[in-house]
Amino acid sequence: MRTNSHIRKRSIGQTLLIIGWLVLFVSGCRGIRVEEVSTVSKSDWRQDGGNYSRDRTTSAVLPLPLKLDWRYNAAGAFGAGSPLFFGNTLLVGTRRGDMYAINIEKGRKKGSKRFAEAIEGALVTDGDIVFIPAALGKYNLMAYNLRTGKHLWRNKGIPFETGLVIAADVIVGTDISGKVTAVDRFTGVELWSFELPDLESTYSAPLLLPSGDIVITGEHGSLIRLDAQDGQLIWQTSIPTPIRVSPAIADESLIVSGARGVLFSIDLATGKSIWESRMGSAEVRLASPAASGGKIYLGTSEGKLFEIEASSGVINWNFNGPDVFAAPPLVTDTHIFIGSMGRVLYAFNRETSILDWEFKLDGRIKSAMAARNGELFVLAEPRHVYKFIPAQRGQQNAD
Amino acid sequence: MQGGISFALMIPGTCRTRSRGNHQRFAACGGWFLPVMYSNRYRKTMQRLARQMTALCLCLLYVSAQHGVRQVASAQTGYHFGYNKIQYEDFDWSLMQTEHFDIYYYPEMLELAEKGAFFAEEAYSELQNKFNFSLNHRVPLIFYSSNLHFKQTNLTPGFIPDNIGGFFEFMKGRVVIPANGNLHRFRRVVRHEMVHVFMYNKVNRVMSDHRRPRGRMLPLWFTEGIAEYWSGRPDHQHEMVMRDALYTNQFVPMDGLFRIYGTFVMYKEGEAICRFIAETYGEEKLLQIIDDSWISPSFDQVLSKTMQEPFPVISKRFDVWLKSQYYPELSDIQIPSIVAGGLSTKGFNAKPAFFQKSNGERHVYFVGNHGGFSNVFKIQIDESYRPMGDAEVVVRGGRNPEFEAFHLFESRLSISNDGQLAFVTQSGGKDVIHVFDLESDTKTATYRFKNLIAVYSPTWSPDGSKIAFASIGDAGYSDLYIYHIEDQQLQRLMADPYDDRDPSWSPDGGQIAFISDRSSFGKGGSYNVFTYGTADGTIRYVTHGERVDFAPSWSPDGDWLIFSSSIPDSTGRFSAQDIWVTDMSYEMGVRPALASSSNSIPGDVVNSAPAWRSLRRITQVAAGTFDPIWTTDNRIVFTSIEALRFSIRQLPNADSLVSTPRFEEFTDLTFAESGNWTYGTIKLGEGAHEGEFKRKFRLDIAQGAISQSPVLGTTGGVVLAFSDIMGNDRIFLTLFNTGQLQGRFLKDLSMQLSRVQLHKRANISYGIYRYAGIRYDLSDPDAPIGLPRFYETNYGGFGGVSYPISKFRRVEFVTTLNWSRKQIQTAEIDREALLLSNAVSLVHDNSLYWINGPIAGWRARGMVAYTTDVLYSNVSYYSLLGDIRFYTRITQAITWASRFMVGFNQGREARLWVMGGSWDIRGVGLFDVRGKKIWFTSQELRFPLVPAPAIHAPILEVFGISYLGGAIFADVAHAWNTGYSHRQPEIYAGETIGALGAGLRLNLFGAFVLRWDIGYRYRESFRFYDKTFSQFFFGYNF
Repeated sequence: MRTNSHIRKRSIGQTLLIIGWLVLFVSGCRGIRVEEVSTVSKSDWRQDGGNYSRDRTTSAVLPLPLKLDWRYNAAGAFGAGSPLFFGNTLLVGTRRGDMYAINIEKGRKKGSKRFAEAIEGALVTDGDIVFIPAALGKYNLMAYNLRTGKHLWRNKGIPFETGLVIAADVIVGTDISGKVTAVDRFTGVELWSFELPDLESTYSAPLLLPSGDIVITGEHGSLIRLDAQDGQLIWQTSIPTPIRVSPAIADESLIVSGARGVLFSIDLATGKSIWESRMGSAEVRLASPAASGGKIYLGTSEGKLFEIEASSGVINWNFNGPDVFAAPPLVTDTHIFIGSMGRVLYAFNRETSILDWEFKLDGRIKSAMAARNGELFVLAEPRHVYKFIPAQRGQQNAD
Repeated sequence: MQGGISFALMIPGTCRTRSRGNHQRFAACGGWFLPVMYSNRYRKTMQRLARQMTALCLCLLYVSAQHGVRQVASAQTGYHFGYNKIQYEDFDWSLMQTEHFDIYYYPEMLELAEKGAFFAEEAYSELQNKFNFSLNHRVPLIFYSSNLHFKQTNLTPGFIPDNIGGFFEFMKGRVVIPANGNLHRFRRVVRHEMVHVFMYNKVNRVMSDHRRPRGRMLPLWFTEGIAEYWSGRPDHQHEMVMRDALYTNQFVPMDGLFRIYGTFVMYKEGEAICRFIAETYGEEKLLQIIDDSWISPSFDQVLSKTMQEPFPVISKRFDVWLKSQYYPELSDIQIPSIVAGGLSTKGFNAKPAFFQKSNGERHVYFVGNHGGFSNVFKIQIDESYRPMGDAEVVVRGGRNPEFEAFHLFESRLSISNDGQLAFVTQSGGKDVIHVFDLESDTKTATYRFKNLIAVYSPTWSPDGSKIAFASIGDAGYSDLYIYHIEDQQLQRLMADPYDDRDPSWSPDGGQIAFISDRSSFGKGGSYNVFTYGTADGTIRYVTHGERVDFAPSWSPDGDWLIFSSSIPDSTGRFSAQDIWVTDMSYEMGVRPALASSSNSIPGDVVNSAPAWRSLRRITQVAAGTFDPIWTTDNRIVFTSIEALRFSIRQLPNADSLVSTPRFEEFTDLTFAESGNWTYGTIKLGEGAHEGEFKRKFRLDIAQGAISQSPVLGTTGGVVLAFSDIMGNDRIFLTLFNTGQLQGRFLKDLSMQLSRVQLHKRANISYGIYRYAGIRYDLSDPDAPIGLPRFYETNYGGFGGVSYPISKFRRVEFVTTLNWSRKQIQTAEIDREALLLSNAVSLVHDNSLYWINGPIAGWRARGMVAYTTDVLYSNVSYYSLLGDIRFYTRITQAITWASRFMVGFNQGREARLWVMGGSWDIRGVGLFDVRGKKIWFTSQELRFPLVPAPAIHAPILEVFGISYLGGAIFADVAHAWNTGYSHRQPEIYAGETIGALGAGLRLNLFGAFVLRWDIGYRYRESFRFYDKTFSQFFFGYNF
């Protein structure tokens, strides 16, 4: 015979079961809401590299030596672009298709959400909105409101494996078929498109010039400058080697890493070649360059780091490392930070070219870094975000 | 590897194990079967091996739980056969460490190891660029100085055929490479394997980055193709294979590559595809394919995404690209089967030698493989060189230790003027030269050379008193030697790092022609023809240049040398391998007075002394010719490749072919100089330092399993397997539990710790164990017949030695000592015993394995054992076992298999032999026939029904349906206990039972056989028909 206690026990059990199912259900519906996305600061990095010239240069002060503040497991590896940050939030997309918002101070997750099956290209934010290019999945381009935690729009189409630029109200990106697409940032409606020639795909993120034009590169060596608002062709040229990484802007020139050991400087106004400089044999792959103060910094698959005169292409010095440099350097006023496939993060003195500091991580570094005063963010294999701070900081606090 | 198999006895609850001749397989052996990127068709995928490993471990756990330990002396269906992989050498391993590599070598080959170290670091630097990737671990490289040493490695359990250049195994990331006398080839193989190392790590990283299963590998044609493509330019072998495939309609388009999976053609076609991708879409696309490999399990989709074209378009482009290179030559080429008469065209045939007997019979002798075993054959021909019948076997190989294996591609035959055939086989750990009298058809001598490992291509001196040959010693270099038969003296002709091969003694005895890479072109892989003056030891050029010359042989009058050669054109692409001749009748430096005017060198003067020689190409074949000889009947006998078949053929009118060549060129030897080339080295102390070689054990496999059965309930356990870097020393830990209640977890916990040592000729194993819990044992004499389930506790240890007498025969000795307490409640038995078991077995196996089981040869096992309770005298019995199986080849595809087995256990608590089911006596249930004594015979006719189903219906390939065969059988058995005719119907004891029937055998994925038998079952010595039966099961044929 059932007693009241039986009935009660049964009810409790059923309730617990329902709660459990709800927890499971809700946990599958994760979202990210970051209130501070609306707060804008000059030190923010709202796009890959901190600016659309992708010169990988920062005015951040990072006194050496640095120490590891925290390491966060983002459950997926990273593409070539740098993380973004604003306020106390670090934003990163993973090759698992997730976007993570991480508390910069504590190194803990603020939120995460699955957007696609893979995110290769870097995210970009504008105001409250983050724009996500997807390399595989149901949607290829998404706009997500970080403050409200809701999608603004989602487009279907050919995947994007590279990053995006925002030019006024236009989002521009190049998909894997080599089609440059511009969509309205508010609605996602396509405004114009431009096709790279001859089935040419692209593996580098577009650059945005101060004039509002964009520069696109193709894997066969095409270089194209377009008006970001209407897609009008400004000029089109090519270099004789494939382009597999993003270029950088150094003053009025475009610095392009060719895949076969040659670095090119192209006049931004005309598209004409200024110089080319051989950094290694035809087997050597050049990483994305960084440009700062008339100098170019470049890592190669031979494990070399070069400093090159931006005006002439002459090599000033180089460092011979044991492992591949596949990621672009990050240049501060005093140092060049570069990570290797040998899991080592190096810091070279800009003035003396001497190695001032190095740190061994748990995995290879093949993504761009980000920094602001006193904080360096590094993405490394297998799936970790690292934050470095000056070693003196904790001691000063203790004092 | 036999060492592992023989100790399957000692691992509790071993499943029946099977061996596959050259390709060992194990039903259960503690999970040490290493996934390697290698197979007897060159490569296996890690996925298939990983599945096997998982299946093995699960089987081990399940069976361990079900059966517990078996008394070793009464191991019944758990015994096994198989070849023996023998450690002939006790390698004194040393360790050299470079920047990226840990290199294992033995002292005799230090110089070669230092060169290998250089090749490895050189490859690393280049591949780091190509892959845009750095390895974050040190790579273990294991070098051997010759193929024969390489074959002894325990890093892979299988037998390694001759033409395996090296392998990379996934478990510990080890790369194993033999040198084989040629530095260029050694360098290329090092580079090839390093591509695999980078590829494997890169793909794993790509998959891991995208959280895709790490086991997903790229197709074999791509991994091998890119390894070939990135290890060097396409060589003459590549060109030969591609030409032959295209010209004879053997070419497989990209979407059909699964049909040639694992073959040499697949390697070469894969290489061509990679070259096509690089030339058409860009070199960078190759790396991009790897970077995109995560996108889809379908490689077609990956290619399509990377190239931005539909896969059929890519395939079509490749088709056109390839054909446009070769089809323009079609109008000029000769097809061997059209222009040359066939002497032996079935199966594989190579290395012809001609002899006319004293009675006038003409014979061509050659090595070949017509049905699985390699032999020396002869074929009688008439005066028009037409075959008079089929080829006959002269020397049987592959079945006995004397003629263990032939080097089919590398070693020629030689027949002296008085009819003595000299040939080489492997015999034990080294090669030997045999001499066979062709008049009397008897072997007359065998010559072994203490410090020489591999021997190739003996050639007789004209007077028959000496034999010259090529050989590789411990140091790993190939040089020429002369053996003086009467004095029994060995004379070394050169001692240098150059690769010297294919000697041929001139009819006048004054010169030995040979090929070598000692020219200045040798560093790039070229071989030229040279002569060695027997009087003064001077080495002279015969050919010179960037070409690959092989197998020189003299015309009967000594005026000409005939050889095969492949030459690169201006683009670097090698030609087909054609037959060439050169005039040796004049001294170098003297121009013949009657030089062909059309080929006169302008401005040349008769009396001038240029050092030039005319080379004449007398064939223009589609793909390749090998080992041409010029017979006394003015004919040229040679081996041709056509449609991927190697045949012996002949061309008439040799002098006419020579006087009207298809092409002639002149090689100017004026400036030919000694090569004096060398590769770089990384020397110990100068770029490499000596490391300490330690026997460190690392985990190979950790596998857990849970099983559920109505008899034992839920059981679970884990297997851990460890081994050292060389694979010589293995440790297994097995833990499982059959307890049904929480309180019984420790009481019913079983474990075994065992070690197997394989580095010496005798394989040794030992271990300790504790088994406790419910046990289901059909062989226990006290267990209830209907449900032989009881509780037993065992503590004990075991030891064993397996000594291989030869590759085909071994002796095994096993001893165990264990304390046993057996509790059978239903029979009120609570028995303790301290059991000592000793067993000695003699095993023979020279059977030839095919897809479903053995098809030729025979195998046998005889065992004597004694088990006794040394404490309480509760147990005392002896065991005898004889099991012999013959496989008679009726035709190439049909085999008659016979098995005779007798088992005898006599004494106190003698165990039962257990049979029944699809694996032996069909028509009865699995293990339903039990008796302390048993005899059994099975006769089975095995035949193919659909040998290659996927060819008829490609969809079957997806399901792994490899082969469908049939069988007709008759099985008879008689088991008894207390009396021969004392009936125990529940276990079919006391009567002769039998089955007649037929069955189907379906092979899946080349690894798993499904069996279905139907037939009639008979009782009482076939006096009455019992019933029809239908049995479905799995397992190889006996």
